Amino acid sequence: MDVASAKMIGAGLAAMGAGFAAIGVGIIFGMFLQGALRNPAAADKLGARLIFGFAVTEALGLIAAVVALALAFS
Amino acid sequence: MANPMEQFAIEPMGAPMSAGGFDLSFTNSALWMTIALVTISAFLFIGTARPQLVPGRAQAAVEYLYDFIRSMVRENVGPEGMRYAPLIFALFIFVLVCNLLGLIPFVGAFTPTSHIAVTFGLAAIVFVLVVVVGFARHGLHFFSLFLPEGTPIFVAPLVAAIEFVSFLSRPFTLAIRLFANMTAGHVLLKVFGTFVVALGSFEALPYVFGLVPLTVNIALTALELLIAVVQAYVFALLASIYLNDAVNLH
Repeated sequence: MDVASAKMIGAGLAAMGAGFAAIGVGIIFGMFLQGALRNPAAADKLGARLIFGFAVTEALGLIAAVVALALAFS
Repeated sequence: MANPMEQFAIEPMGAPMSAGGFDLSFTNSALWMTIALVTISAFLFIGTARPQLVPGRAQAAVEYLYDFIRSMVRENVGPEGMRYAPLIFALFIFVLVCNLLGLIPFVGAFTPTSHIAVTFGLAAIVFVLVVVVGFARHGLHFFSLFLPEGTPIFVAPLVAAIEFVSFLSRPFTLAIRLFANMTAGHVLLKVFGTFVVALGSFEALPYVFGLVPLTVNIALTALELLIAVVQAYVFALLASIYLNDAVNLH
């Protein structure tokens, strides 16, 4: 297998990381909705933590996406 | 298919300049950062030029935005951190305006925040600030940041090493998050743009099938507007959370 096609396969494998991060982000928002529906009074206070958890989780998926882009377009 | 990374190329706008071996040309990135600064200055100047007790539209917009950041800093850092609110506000509004200006179609808009050099510069400001404030306020006691209270003594070296590495990785994740969001969003818009051309050029029935990816592209532009605002907020939120460590030590 030559280097160019190995790079493309590697980019595809790296892009899987974005999908796994999507599972994590889905869990975060789902858990937030569960908590917010059980106790609507506390929902407003959870907003900042929700965005914080979302950002920290999403970063890992984005790193995978950047690796995939760097492999595919360099 | 055209390379979707072409839109991020940095080109000199006028005559190329260099000094001492460094390229100092005025680039499209510098141009759009200047436009962002002019926009921010105009927004703040118009809003605060004639302050009134009952604010008008422009004044209310500035006050709302500034109060939003102030309350976020108060919530996350506490009253001791209020003196850093203007800095957090400056970071927030610069990232926000750079993100939003980059989404303007037809004018050849360039997003400075889609370059890791710009975002890492902003993240480095936050990191240096956290270290300087931490040592200035707590001296060598600042190192207790790396050892949470109540850690059993025989796992302490492991916990301290992990905390230290996670502390050092903060500026990189802060920079990469913003840069990757902006890059990925603009690449996505460009890829769907090529789908419009590819499907619209179907010989027997021209233009019709191009409408489908065009609709998706309009929806994606709305999503990108949301992401531009959310990422600016996340940048400011994480900066104030990191500052909280330096000011209050856990």
